[in-house]
Amino acid sequence: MPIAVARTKPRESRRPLIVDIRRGSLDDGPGIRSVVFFKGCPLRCVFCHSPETQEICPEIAFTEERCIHCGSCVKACPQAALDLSSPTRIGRDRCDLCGACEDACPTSALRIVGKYWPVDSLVELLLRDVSFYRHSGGGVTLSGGECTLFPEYVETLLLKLKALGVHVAIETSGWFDYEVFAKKILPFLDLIFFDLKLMGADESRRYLGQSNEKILENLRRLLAEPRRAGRVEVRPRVPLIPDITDTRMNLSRVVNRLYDLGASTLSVLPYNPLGLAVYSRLGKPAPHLSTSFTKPDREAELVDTVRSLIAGDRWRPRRGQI
Amino acid sequence: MIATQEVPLQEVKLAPALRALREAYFQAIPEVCVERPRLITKFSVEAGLFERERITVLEKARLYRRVLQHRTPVVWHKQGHKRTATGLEEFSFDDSSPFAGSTTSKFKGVPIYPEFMALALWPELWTMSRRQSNPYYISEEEIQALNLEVFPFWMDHNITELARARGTEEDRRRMQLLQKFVFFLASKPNCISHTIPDFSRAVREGLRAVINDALERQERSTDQRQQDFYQAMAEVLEGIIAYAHNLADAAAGMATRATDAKQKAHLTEIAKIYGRVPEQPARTFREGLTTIWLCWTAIHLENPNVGLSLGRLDQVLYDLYRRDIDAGRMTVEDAVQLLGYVWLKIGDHVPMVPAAGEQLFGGTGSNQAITIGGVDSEGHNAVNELTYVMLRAIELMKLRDPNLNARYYPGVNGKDYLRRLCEANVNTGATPALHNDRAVIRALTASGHTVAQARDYGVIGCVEPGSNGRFYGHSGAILLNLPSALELTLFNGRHRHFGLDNVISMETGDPYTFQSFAEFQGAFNLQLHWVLDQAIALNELFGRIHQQFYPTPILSALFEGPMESGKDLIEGGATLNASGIAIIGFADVVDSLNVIEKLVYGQQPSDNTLFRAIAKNYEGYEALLARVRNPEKVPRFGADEVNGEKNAIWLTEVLHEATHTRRNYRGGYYRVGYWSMTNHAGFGRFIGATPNGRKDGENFSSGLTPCSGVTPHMTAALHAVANLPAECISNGMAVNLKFTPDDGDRTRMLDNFTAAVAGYFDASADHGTGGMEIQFNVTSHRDFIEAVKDPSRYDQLLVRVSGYTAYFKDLNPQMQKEIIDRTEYRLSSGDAVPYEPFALTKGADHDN
Repeated sequence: MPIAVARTKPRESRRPLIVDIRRGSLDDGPGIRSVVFFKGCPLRCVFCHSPETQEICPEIAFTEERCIHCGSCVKACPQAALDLSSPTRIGRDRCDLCGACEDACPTSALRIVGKYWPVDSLVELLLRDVSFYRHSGGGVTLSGGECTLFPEYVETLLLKLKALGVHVAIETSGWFDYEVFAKKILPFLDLIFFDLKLMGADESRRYLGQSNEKILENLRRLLAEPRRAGRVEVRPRVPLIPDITDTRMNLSRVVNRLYDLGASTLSVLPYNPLGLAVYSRLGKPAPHLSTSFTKPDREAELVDTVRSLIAGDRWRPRRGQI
Repeated sequence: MIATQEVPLQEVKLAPALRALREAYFQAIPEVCVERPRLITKFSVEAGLFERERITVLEKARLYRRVLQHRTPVVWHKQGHKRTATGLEEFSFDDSSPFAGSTTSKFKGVPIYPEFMALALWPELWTMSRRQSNPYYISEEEIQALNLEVFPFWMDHNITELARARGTEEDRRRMQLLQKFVFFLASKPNCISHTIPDFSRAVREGLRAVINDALERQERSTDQRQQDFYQAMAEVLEGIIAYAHNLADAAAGMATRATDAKQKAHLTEIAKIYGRVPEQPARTFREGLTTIWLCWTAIHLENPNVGLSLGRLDQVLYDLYRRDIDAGRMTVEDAVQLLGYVWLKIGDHVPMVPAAGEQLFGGTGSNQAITIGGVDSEGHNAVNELTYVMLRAIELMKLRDPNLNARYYPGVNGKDYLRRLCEANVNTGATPALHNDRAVIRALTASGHTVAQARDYGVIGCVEPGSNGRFYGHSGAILLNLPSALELTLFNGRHRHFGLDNVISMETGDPYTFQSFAEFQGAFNLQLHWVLDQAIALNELFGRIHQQFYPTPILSALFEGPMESGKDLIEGGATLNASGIAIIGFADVVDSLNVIEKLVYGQQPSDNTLFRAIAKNYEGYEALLARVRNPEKVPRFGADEVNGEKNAIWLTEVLHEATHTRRNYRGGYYRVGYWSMTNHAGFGRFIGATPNGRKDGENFSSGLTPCSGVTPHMTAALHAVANLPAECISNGMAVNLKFTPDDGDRTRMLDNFTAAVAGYFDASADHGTGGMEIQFNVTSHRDFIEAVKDPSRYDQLLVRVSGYTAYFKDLNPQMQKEIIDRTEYRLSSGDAVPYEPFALTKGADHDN
């Protein structure tokens, strides 16, 4: 069971928070999987498709479509931070994230994003689906946010999962401390989805909020790791963000770099605008990005582009999850 | 038995003649048949049976023998009635089925049983051919026959009147309860049925051998009743043989008149086969099917067919199949065609449902289950080539009846087989239902079956398991409206449907004054026992009436036990006995208990707002309604929260405890299961708003399926169901899952489908058995909506209701809504498709 996070001011807590646990997922790695979404990310990609996982601290979200205007939250709020007549509902300067409105809200229109799960509770929940993992070749995927921000917690979690033979994948931005990662997390992984977005250092700072040096270096080291009986598989992916990552120039540089590093596959992820709606729920301005999904013909065109960039037939670029 | 690889069956298609007959079958509307009631009434009068205080098995047997001898042998049906814009119209078609004979005198008949419930049809005789939903054709001459020659004789002699006259004052009060439909339905006033006969002996040895056995035993016996019983068996079997010979003669006569050489040969072949079986042992697959088919028609003389099931045909017929194939006498394609013809025969009658019953049972067939696959009585893999052939025949025919049920023993049966079963569901949209042998066998051994008997189980009616050919378990004896027990608890022994002034059961305290949830549970338990007491007492009363007036020599002669015990089934002659109770509204009650526990007694002090809200149908309590419907706020069954399961497990244990300790009039035990046919819609009409956020009159969730809209993740819902103790669910369960068909990658979709089922069957297997049963609808939301708007375009759309299959167009609007509203999971993402309740509008309400 999730335990409500200690109601402290933001940034004081580094306990890992979990935004969502999705069971029975068929889109986050092979087979039927449970996906754990951690909260907190070192990058600030402007095209982030899950902005609720950016901040490492709890936040409060308001989903207007769910609100039935019952006013329970206004009565419950000790800070008088809520206003039914305001479209954003929450006076965020007053809110101290006490969670009283979440409890009061019958429809979950107001909710605290980010709950702490004791490892044992999380393991118990994830293991409920172990028969589905086994029969489908599935398992658990740690996603985010960036799960590598919590090496101690993840190590404890994975120790327990691997003891029962559960297949484990992570989805990472690649921005992590390699030494810690290699020691605490890497030994337990079966599959790593490694996102490569932009190759230029300036572009990276502009669109990702960080230089990409560390990401590229981590990928280099990961691919150079001696393959212990080929156990961990690394799958670089590039999300196709219109006019940002999907330019021929960028894709060409991605392909060349992966070629140099000796990667054997590249996957492309079609653009998904669903994250845009989340910004307003969190009281943040949404970036100006396309609001439509990558069209199938555009996706095919981009796959062709990538394919044409690849020398010979050494590679098999694929779409999204494999 | 050795399992073989699937034969290349994908290319097998229906032959044109069979396809044409199938089309005629879909066009034909049911026609009331007066042959049986006329003969039964006439011979009963002649034998003086109306004056008896009890009808013996021998008297019954002689009556049935005469009917069998005198009924018209119809080799082929050439005429039916179909619906046109202006009314019902006769049409002709070609019938060249290899199987002669029929359950009634009609192509698709409604058999009439005046000794049971048929008098309910009396006021409707003139109107039923014009009723909007599921009309029956009847001619004026036939109406007059029922009016004058049949119904008047039975006014004081039908089962309800016999029971009323013989029951106590208390019983008569219970019968009034029954007639309100609010608490339970008892099906014995209509029939017992609901079992699987043993065909293996009839097929292997022939009926003559069975007659000889009975007569030898008669000679050895010194007990008059036993002697009469053995004589009775011989009488009815002679009757079946006589009917077969009459058909043979009719076919021979047609052969001599036939001008077409092919047809002449065909009829001559029928005459030859019917002259031989079922009297003699069957030597070929076709003869085996003929034996089963003729016995099947005869059994329906005794009781209306509700859930009478054919059992493990892929086991009973496999030897004959193998021999024919190996000898080159038959191809796999021939076998599929033969089965296709038999399926049409099996569906040649529909149960009589008067207009008033349409709300509760509209669109239901007889639910004749066939079981394939699984293990044999020694636990070995029993999936064989015929298993696949039957599956293919079902897939091609896409009929409501027979209702195919496939067994799967994880680890014993192959994964390829499971995948094929899933594929059949994708192809048909609704069949077969899948059963987990490990869970079912555990459930059966916990309730009186030996391991070997349990392994040899077949599925009865909807989903109920019972040992094949030896279990007389009337699995649908009682259909219990579980929320009515909750209603009595909430209103202190009163019921909103009857007004809150009168105490219906007993006062167990005002829930407003209870101090704890445990106190509420205690009161609920008492009310539940009261409802069960009423239902079981009535079942016992009607059971005794059946013993006095409705012995079943035909079914007894085709069953394991009566031959050895010298007793009719109704007297407890079967090897295994039971009475089954189907629980309706389980998920709604569990969720209601969860809500009451958390939002009423979980508050300090207790908060009675919820009770006030349901009294007002949540009007003025919109925020509370939203809260109780929100699975994030209250543990819901199927959302897989720890507390959601606690009350579910408690409830299954309470129901099991309350029933399995009781013995019925045949010496069998009572057992509970969770399937609802169409009654989760019908019973819902009588129950006001419930604490789980269900409003007045709305549908309950079907079978053991979690309520719609509360289970966002498929695996969570399946895990929650699999966690329930199989030992407490020996009368079967139905879990409905709706998948959105994917247009995309079929291989991947089947991978996911198969893995989901295999995972469900192994879920919680470390401390339990895994999920017991699962069934599917694989039709898109859009198609359902279109089918409501334009039924004629979707007249063959097959759906799983709860347990059985039905044609969507035959269901009443409320039932159609229930199916549309079921949680639908995408096979591509595993997520529930966002839930939007379907509004019953004028367009949907095509019956009005």
